[in-house]
Amino acid sequence: MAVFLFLAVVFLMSGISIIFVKEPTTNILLLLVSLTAMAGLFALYGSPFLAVVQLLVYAGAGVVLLISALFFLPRERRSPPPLRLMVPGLLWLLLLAVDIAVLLPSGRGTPSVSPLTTARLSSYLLHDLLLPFVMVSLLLVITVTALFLWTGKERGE
Amino acid sequence: MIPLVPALVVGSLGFLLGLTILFVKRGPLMILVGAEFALNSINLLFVAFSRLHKSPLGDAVVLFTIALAAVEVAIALALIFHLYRRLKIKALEELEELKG
Repeated sequence: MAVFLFLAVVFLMSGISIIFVKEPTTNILLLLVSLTAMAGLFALYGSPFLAVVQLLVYAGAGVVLLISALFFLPRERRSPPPLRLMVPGLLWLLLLAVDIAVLLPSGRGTPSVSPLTTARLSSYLLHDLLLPFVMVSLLLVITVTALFLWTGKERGE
Repeated sequence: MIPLVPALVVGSLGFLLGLTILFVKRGPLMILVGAEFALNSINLLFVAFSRLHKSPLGDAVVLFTIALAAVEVAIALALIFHLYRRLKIKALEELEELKG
C-alpha cells in the first residue's frame, strides 16, 4: 500500500505541477513522470504487460514525439533553468527504479493479485475481441496513410 | 489486494486534473498534454475494474486506448505544425476560422 500511495501522490502532484508550470519542456517531462507512475500502478493492479506497454509506447514513443515538437518552438521558450529539468528528470529515474522493483517477480507488491498473462490477453484479443482489434488496426493504417498524404500535399508533392 | 476505492479516487482526481489542464492552458501542445493526462487517468479505472470482475476486457480496452492515444498524438502534432507554420498561430484563441 505504501508503494501505491507513493505512485498515486507522484501521479497527482505531477498533474498539479503541469497546471502551474509555464515552460513546455518541464511540462512534458512532468507528463513523462506521471505516465511512469501510472505504469507502476498498472503493475500493482496485476497488469505487468500493460505497465511495460505504457512505458514503451506511451512514455517512450509518445513523449519523444512531443519533445520533437518542441524543436519548432523559439529557443528561449524551450530552454528552462536547468533545475526545472533536473527535478522531474531525477524523479523519473526514481520512479523507473520503483516500476522495475514492482515488475520483478520477487518484488510484486500484491501477491494475492493473479497477474494477467500476455497469453491470456492475446487469446482474448484475437478470439473475443477480433472485430474491435481489426477495426483499431485499420484505423491506425488509415491514419498513418492520411497523414503521409496530407503532409505530402502540404509540401506540394 | 489493493482495494478498488483508491484507484477510483486517483483515477477520478487525475481525470479532473487533465480537464483542468485542458481548460487552463493556452498553447496547443499543452492542451494535448492535458488530454493525454486525462486519458491516462481513465486507464487506471479500466484496469481496477478489470481486476474486480476478474475479466481481461478492461485490460484490452486500455491496450486499444494506448494505441488510439498514439494516433491522437500523431494527428494533433500534424495539426499543430500546420497551425504554427502556415497560419502563424501560437494559442488556440487566435484561431478564428472555426468560430461559428
